[in-house]
Amino acid sequence: MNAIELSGISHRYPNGVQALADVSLTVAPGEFVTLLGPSGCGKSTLLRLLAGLESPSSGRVSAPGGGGVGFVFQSPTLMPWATVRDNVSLPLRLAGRAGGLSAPRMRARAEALLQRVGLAGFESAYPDELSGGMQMRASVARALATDPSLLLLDEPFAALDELTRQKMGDDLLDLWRQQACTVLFVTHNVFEAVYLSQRVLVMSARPGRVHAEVTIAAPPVRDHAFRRSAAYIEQCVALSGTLESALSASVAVAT
Amino acid sequence: MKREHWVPALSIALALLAWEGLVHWAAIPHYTLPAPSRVLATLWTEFDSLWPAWWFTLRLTLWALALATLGGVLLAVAFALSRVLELALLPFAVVLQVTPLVAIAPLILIYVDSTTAALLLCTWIVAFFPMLASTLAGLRAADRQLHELFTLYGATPWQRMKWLLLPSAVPYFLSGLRICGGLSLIAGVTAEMVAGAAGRETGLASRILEASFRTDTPRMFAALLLLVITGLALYAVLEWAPRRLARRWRPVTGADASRQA
Repeated sequence: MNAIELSGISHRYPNGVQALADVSLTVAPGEFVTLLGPSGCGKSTLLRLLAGLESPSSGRVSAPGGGGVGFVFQSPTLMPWATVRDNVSLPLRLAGRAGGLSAPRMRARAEALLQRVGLAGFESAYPDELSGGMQMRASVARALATDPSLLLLDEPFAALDELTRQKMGDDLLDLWRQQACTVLFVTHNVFEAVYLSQRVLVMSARPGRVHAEVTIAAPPVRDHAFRRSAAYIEQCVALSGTLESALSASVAVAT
Repeated sequence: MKREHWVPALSIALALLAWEGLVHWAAIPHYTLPAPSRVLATLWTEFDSLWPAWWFTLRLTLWALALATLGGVLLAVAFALSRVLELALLPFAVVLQVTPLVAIAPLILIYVDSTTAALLLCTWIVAFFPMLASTLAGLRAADRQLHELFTLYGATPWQRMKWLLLPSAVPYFLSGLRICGGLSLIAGVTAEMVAGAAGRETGLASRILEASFRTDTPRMFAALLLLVITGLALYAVLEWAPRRLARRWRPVTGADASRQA
């Protein structure tokens, strides 16, 4: 049984733009897969289809529904009028009685999640009092609130500086190991893709298709030593090459 | 003292002094233009008759403001929840808004027996539309991605209203409230001018009209002064109280509005 199964997905937006053409992919439970591609390749659309925010024009999507999916947007997307704790407990409050948690237990769960993402002590802070990286941490904590089996992340660290981005990547890997959930991560950053994922799907644009599939060879625990290793750098170079061929494939279609 | 405070204070004081000096120097009769000192003296001596009128105008304004706020917000929430309701009712709201108050006030005065109720209705008609429009804009201005987040977790319409739309609308609501407060006073006075009501249960507009018939200019100025003070006080309260009550919400500025659009 796969965590995600997409078969023959095509998607056309009402304005006529063909976002995806005949995309099929499967992701095994507990896998960390990255979608890498230029802008306009439909990788965000793919995530939105999986989250149920869009329905495909044709094809079949099979993914967990409801609280089974956690979604991290490109921007932190926090409610500015609510404390960090209230933001993180929002999915639990929306589930209400169906979620089976009382208000104090929702609160406690939100606080435990904040501790896990390194935001202990900021429970009562408001989003505008946090740095960009901390806001993103709160956003990740919120995505984990319902204990999802699938975590979708849409270029979550794109707006962060390089050091923060690396730290966030390490912490995401820790969370993934603890949570034992399936992760589908969207990025246009080759280094991030190699460092984080077990498998990378390189996409080309106009219309979005899966151009190549690359399996990343890495030690069980990825750390700074891996980031400096020859194996890491070689795979980054190779993946850059694949991404370039995906880009020229996109251009060839476009012209 | 900061420049932002003493410069306006000084300019107002100088203007009043110049006014006072001009009236004395040119020996302008008080029934043409009373000096500020005479206006103050009149306010003091006529206080017994002006005070109930002021209280009437203030009550009319505050009631109209409260009812306009209630009506505007409830209608905005209803419109945000139901597009059909909005399509059905918005034309009426717009018609009421574009019709000049002075033009329909006489009709309302015919249809409604109680003058006070008629005045309240006139004032409400003017004041409620800005409340409706700004609250509705606020409900619609909620962040698109937050909307998607609520969709993702299967939020009910009521949850979305309570936790997303209403909080998003607060800054817009507060801007609407300020406009609405000023309008309530202006519309209240206008309605009373049109009604031309006389008698005990009347406001400052009636006092001004009466004084004008008798060419009692100092009394007109005294009533006017009370209106200005009331308007300023209302503005100050609506400007500062929300900031104290809800620090998390800043009133929208142009930049915010365009960013959220």
